[in-house]
Amino acid sequence: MAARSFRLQIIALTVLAATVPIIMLGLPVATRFSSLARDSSARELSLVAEKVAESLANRLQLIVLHASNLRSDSDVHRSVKSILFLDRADLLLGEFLNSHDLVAEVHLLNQDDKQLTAAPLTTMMRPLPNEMRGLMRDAAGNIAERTSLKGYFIMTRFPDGTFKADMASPPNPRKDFSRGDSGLALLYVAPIVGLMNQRSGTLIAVMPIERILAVMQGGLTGPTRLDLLQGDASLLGAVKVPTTEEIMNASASLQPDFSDPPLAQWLVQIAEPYNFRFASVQKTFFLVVALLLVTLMVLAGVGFLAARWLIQPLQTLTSYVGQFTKGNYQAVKPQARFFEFQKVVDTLDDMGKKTLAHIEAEKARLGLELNALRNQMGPHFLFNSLNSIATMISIDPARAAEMLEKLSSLYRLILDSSKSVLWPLEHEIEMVGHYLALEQMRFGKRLRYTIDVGPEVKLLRFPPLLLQTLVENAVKHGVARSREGGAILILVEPNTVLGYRLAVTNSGSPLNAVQRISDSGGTGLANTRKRLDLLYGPEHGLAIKSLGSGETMVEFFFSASPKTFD
Amino acid sequence: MTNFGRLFVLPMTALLAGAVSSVPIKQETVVLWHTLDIVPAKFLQTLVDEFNIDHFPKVRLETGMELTPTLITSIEDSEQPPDMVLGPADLIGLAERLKFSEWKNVGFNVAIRPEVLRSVQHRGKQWGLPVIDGNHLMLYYNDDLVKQPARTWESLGKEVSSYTHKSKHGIAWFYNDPYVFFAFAAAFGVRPLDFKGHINLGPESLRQAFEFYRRMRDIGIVDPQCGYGCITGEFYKGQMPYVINGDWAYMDAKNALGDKLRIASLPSIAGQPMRSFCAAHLLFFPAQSLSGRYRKTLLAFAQFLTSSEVQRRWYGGANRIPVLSDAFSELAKQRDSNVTAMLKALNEAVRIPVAPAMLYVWPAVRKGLALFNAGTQSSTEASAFVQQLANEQYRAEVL
Repeated sequence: MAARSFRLQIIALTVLAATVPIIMLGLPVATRFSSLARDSSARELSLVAEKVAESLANRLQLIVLHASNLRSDSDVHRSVKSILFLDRADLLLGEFLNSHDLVAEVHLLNQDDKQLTAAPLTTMMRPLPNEMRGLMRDAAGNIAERTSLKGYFIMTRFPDGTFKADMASPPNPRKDFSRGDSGLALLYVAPIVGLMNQRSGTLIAVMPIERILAVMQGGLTGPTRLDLLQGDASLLGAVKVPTTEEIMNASASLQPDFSDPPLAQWLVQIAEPYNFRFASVQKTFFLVVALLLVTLMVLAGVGFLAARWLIQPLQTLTSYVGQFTKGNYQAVKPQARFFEFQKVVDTLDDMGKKTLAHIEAEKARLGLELNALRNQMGPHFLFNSLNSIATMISIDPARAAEMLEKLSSLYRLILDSSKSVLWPLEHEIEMVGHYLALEQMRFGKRLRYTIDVGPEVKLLRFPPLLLQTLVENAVKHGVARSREGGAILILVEPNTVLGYRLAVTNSGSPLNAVQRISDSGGTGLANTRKRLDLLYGPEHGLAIKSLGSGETMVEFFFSASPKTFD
Repeated sequence: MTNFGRLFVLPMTALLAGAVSSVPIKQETVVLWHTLDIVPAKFLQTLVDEFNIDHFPKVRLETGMELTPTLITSIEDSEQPPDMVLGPADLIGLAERLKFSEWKNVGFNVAIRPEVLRSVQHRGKQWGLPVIDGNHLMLYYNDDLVKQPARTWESLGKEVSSYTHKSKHGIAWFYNDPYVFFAFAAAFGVRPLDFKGHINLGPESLRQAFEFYRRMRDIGIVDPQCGYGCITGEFYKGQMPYVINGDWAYMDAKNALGDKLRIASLPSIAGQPMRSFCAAHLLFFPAQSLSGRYRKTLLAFAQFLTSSEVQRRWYGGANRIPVLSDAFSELAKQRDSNVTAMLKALNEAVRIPVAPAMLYVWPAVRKGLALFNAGTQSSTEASAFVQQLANEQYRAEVL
């Protein structure tokens, strides 16, 4: 499984941890909030409409009560009969007008329907339109059916200053009633009744629709439209369905007077532009979404930066370790941001320095050993070989020349072997072959040898002079010490221990106990063991075995990839 | 008396005396209604206090009511009418309705000025006792600002428009008061009643009067909204040269301007004199109070108010002109230019008619003036309206 980037994992986790909850919670919350706000607004509008309707009903009832008191006032009674009380009537009408903001005019008429006075005075209407007179007479006719508290509501149209009266009972829905510019007005027409229950005059309070709507509208805030619809909901049918651009709601029907059944019923309907109330909600919603997005980006950025910041010491560490794996134990020690990482860096640096020292020491030591080993083959062998060749010259000059050539090749190979710690096994076999050929010149038929090395093995890298040392020992301790001489078998073959097995078997003089453990009188096998330890570790398994029948075998295992120090 | 009698009678007498003394004595008073301004009202109270020292029941003053309708209500609704009323002469028109006691056979004579006495007779009867005179309009001016008072409205108009003083207007008066309007209307021949006592304002004359009156406003000579404020504010502070006001305001003006205050007759309009009304204040006895239990006290108070000593004090104490001939003569002899001018203006004024119809003229004129000034009616319409309203109401109520 491919290794993953720790840094990317940290970044991804941080960003996810920050953003996913916000996304998962934010949108549903915002949507729910918007829905609640819409429902709440509709409810609020209905409450506003109810409040306005209640306020209007209260105002109208106050007007009715006040007018009823006026009708009962003795000064008002006198004023419709005597001009001497007109100043008092003016005062009372003025107070009435100032007390009720819905009332634009108040008129006082005498028994003959003549205008006596009005408040404001400039609104005196003379003569009174006929429709109005008719209403007065109807009102007079109905007095017996009504108590002194009752009055009349009559809708009146005032286009261009003219006057027209329509009876409101039974109430019929009229669209124009809701229009503030229709010129409609409500008239509270109350007969002034004397002691004998005879109508002695009439009080008329005029409430223009635009004034009613303006007063009611004054209590509302924002671009809210208010309509006063005549009739109750059943008469009007369904209240107007709000469009998508507005929210609308209406009150219950309000009845402004004390009559039963009521002479008039109205609904207060309120319409509000959808965007007015939700502008702030939408604004808040978009603000929340925008904030969410900004928060997401900020958190992602912060997460990325935090991850980078946290990972940086690891990267430093990784890079430093990478230098070691490349063998660069002299890499510059980095400074880590955190104490814990710095400890690791310091430890690695220490390890690197020690490793480097160890390697240098081994290099030196191996170099010395190698030179020592090389020196082992020096004087005696050269002396013996030259003597043999000198003897051979007179006997067999061609053979002498061949031996001399082999001696030259041998020392050439010895010189070449000092150039590196490892060289191809093929060269080692060649060198061993030259050596045995030269020794065979000295020992004659007493020395017999076989080299069994496969062609694929000859290419292996092998420590120089290591096989030479073992063969030299086999000749020295096995063949040279036996009267009959002996045979030497050199075998290199693949093996499962380290990869390959090398065995040098010789017959002749058997290996004694002392020689098994150590190489007494010589340092060759001891050095061999050390060299094998360094190159291949303890797994080389160098062993000297007596095979019986006078045969001795020295074997060890080696790998194709020794620890090189090149 | 036997010992037994003493034993019985004396304790019983003591017991009865104690019982009688423990019953609280009702404080009896006679009530006088009036509508005088602050200064004369205060003076009247002084007089009442003097009178009450030696008389019982005491006289108690009540004021602040709207006199005519309150009187009518008190009489017709039997709501404790006053025993006396000190009111203007035109209340005589309600003599029957208010059941005034006729002033006759009272047991003493009062040397009232003849012109005053004539003005308070109605159908050969006298329905009250005149106490003070005046109630007429005059032209007040500031001596520092006006060297020679204007005698015509034409010159006054030019004069006020050239003033560079602090006042926005050169003259002020109670523009919407019909009493003041009538002074202007008189210059156009407007008379409220004819010789029969019927309402006959003269529609054309009234129309012209309306037109002139409005013109004064339109050309900026007068500000209809600045009556009381201008008078007490600007004129009393020496910032306005002229005001038209009644003699009842003389003391206030005198206190404000001191020696700078001067009086002149009202200017003429197009050669025709302005004629203010004037009216005596009478002591009336509504609900036939002179025939009641307090007759003696009421007559004593009436005599007190019209005594020489008190009459001489009315001008000094309240700047009200006495009705008594000798007191008036003494006043007229004063070497005070303002007094002279005031009495001259009184002489130029017209006695207010006391016929009942006059009472119906005031509210009609007030209405017509208001409608006209508001622009609701033209001068012709307003003139007709006033005549019609006054006549209709008079016929409906009286005739």
